[in-house]
Amino acid sequence: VSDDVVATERSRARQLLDLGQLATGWREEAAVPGPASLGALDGFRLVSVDEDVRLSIYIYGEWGQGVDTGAALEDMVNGDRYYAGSTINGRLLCFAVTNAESERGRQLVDQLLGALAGWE
Amino acid sequence: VNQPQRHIWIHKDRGGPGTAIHEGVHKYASPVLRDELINTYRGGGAGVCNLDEGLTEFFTRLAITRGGLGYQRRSCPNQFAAVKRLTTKVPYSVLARAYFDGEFTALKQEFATKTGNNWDDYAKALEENDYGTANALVKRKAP
Repeated sequence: VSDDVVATERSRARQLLDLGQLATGWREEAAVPGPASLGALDGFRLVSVDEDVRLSIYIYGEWGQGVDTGAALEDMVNGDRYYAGSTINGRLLCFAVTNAESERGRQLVDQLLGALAGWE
Repeated sequence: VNQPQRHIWIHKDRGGPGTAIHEGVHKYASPVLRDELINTYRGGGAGVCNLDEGLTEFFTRLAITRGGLGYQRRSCPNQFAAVKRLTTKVPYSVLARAYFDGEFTALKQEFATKTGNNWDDYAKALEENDYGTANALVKRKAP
């Protein structure tokens, strides 16, 4: 898989998320867990400025390769303390987490996962 | 899907395992509900109808669950949540007949009977993306 594919998928993830239309600011940092540990080629994390929502994007070599990883991450993190969700779109896997008590955070997680899924 | 012709294209490098099911459910839908809501609240054309998308996603997830396919779905979260709430007052069968067979009037009547609220108020809020108002109208009881 070429660097071009990774760059294209990074760009596509940002286009799908369309973060500019949200009232929340975001900063980019390294993905957690790291991409290699999840079998991904690349990844990055977006954190809302109020630290309420963390969104990790991973880029895989093939369509749908991130499905099982997303489900496993959800199983590990979802619970009383955290609200977590994942979705895939082609080579992209998005894993989002917020505090379970934050209604706004949960809404934002659902909205962002819906956006990355592509608003079918 | 391009509405109203309902031609379906699926990009081989995009979407997820449930994408084809979601788009396939669109294919089986009657145009009655969708066209009326788009013409009434969105000025016609080929725009998105929130109730139509919510019902499509609802029946998509139902098919995935009943088929034991295990696909994760996150599409149309607000529309799906609105339809889930609607199912607390309106039976699946009424929703299915409205969506697949075009028996939209029966859905409106069932909504009014079960909530005591006006269907048009609900539909207007839903199609204007005011999910808070729409969902509250499903919960509220008639005085």
